[in-house]
Amino acid sequence: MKVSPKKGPEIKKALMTVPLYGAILISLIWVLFPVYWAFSTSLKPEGAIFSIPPRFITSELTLEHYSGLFTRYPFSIYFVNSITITIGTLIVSVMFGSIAAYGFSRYEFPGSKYLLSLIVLSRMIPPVAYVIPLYVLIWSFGLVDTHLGVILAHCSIVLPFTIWIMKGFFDELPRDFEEAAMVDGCSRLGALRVALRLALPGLGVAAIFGFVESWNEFMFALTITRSPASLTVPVGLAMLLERPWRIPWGEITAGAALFTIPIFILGYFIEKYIARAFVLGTVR
Amino acid sequence: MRIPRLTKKAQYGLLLVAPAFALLFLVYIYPLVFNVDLSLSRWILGRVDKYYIGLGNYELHFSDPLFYRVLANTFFFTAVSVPLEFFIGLGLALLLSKAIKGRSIFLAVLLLPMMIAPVIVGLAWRWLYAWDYGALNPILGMLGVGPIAWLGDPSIAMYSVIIADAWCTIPFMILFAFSGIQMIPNERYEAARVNGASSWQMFKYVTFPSIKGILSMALIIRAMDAFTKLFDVAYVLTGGGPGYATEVLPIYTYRIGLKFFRLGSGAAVGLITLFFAAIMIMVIMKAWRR
Repeated sequence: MKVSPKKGPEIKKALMTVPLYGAILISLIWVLFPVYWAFSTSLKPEGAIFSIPPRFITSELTLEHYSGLFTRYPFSIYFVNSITITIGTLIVSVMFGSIAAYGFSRYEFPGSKYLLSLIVLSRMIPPVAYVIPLYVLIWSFGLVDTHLGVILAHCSIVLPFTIWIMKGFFDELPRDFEEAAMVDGCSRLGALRVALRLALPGLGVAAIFGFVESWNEFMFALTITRSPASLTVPVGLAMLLERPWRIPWGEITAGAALFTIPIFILGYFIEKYIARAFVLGTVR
Repeated sequence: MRIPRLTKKAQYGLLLVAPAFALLFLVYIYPLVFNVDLSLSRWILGRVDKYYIGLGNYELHFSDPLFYRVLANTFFFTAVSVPLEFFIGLGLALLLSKAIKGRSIFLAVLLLPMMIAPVIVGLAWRWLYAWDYGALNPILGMLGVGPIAWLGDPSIAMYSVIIADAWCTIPFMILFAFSGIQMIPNERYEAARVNGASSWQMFKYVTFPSIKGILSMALIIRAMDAFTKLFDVAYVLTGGGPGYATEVLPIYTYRIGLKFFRLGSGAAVGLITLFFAAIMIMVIMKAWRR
C-alpha cells in the first residue's frame, strides 16, 4: 500500500481553514449586526423597540416609523435639502473639476506642479483648520442657513477630490483622438470636448464619489444650517437625539435606512474604483 | 518687454485651471490663511468686534487645564485606535488574500461600513450601547458580563467611541493592505516557496516588505484623521461627555468657535490641532523608517 505523500499537508490545510473561516465569520457578524439591529429597529412597532429584554427577531413588522418621519417630522424637507445641496455641489465640482483636471493632464504651465501638489495636500488638511474662517466668510456673504452656503463648504472637500480622480482618468486616455480632432481642424476647445466625451465613465465615477462625500457630510452642514430652510438629513437625524422624553429610535433608524440606501446602490457601481480612488491616489 | 511671455499652450492650460482655482481660493486657501489671522484676534460674533491680541488666545489655551485634558484625550484616542485598526485591518486583509471561496463577497461586506455616513454610524452605535433598550448589554449578559454603562461611565466612554469609530475605519486599513498585497507579483512568492519558506517567513520576507510603503501611507492618513477629524461619530455618541471624558480637539474647536462664537479662540485651537498633527506625522515617519 502506498500512502499518497500529499495526504499529510492536505489534512493540515483543511484544519487550517477552520480558524480562517472562523475569523471571517466573526468579522462578518461584527460588520453586519449593527446594520441588522438598526434596520430591524426601523421596522418594529414602538412596543417591540422599547422592550426588555430586546427582541432580536420579531414577526410584527410596521412601516409606521417611515411614515412618521414625514408626517410627524419635516424629513421630506430635509431630504429635498440634502438632494439639492449634493446635486449643487456635484454640478460645480464636476464642471470646474473635470476641466481643471484636463488642464493639469494635458498642459504644463508655470506653477502647475505646485498647484497640483496643493490639491494632493488638501487630503491632509483637516476641516478644523479652516471651518471657523469659512463660516465667517459664508456669514459675511449672508449665506448662513442657505443651500448655497453648504454647497460652497462642500466644494472645499469635493472639488480637489474630483480634480485628482479625473486627472488620473485623463492621464490614461490616449491623446490620439484629440490630436486627430485638432488635425481635422477642431479648436483646442473641440479637443477638450472629445476628451470629455471619452472620459465620461470616469466623470461618472468621480461624480459618484463626490455624491457620497457631500451626501454624508456632517460638520459643515451642522455649522451652516439653522432651520428647515437648509437642514440636511444627517443634521436632522442628529437633532432627533435632543427630543425630550424618549429618543425616537424608530424614526431615527428609519431615516438612517432611507438615507443610506442610495449610497449602497451607488456603491455597487463604484466598487471596483474604491481602491483606486483611496489607495492609488495617495501612493502615486 | 522683459517679462517672459507665456506660450499659447501654457496660457490655455492656465485658463482651464483658473475657474476651479478661483473657487478653491475662496472656500479653501483663503480660509486657511484667514484662520491664522483669526487666531491672533479676539472676536466674539455679535458681542465683541474683531481686534488683534497677538498670541493671547494661545496663552489662554496653554494655561487652561481643560485644554490639556482635551489634548490628552485626542492623543489617547489616536494612540489606541490607530494601532488597533492597523493590526485588525492587516490581519483581515491577509486572511482575504488567501484563495478562499466567496472572497469578493466577503471583501464587499467588510468594506461596507466605509460607505455609511459617520453620523449614521454614531447613531447606530448609540442605539446599540443604549443602557435600557440597547442590544449590547443583553448579549453580554448572556455571556455573564455586564451591564456596562457604555456612554455614561467616564472611564469607559472613550473606549466606546474607539470601538464605534473602528467599525467604520477598519475597512480603510483592509482596503490599503489588501490592495498592497494584490500588487505583489506572484514570482516573489514562487521564489520563496522554492526555497521552502514557512508562512511566517513568507509574510516577514515577502509580503511585509512589499506592502511596507502602502501601509505607511495608510498609517499616516489614519493617524492624521484620528487626531484631526474625530467629529461626527463622537458628536452623536457622547457630544464630548460625560463631563469632558471624550472631548477631543475637533469637537472642542467646534464648541468654542461655532457654538459660543468665540471665533479667535476657536481658530487658535484649530491651528494648534494642525501643528500637533504635523509633529505626530513626522514622528511616525521617523519611527517607520527604522
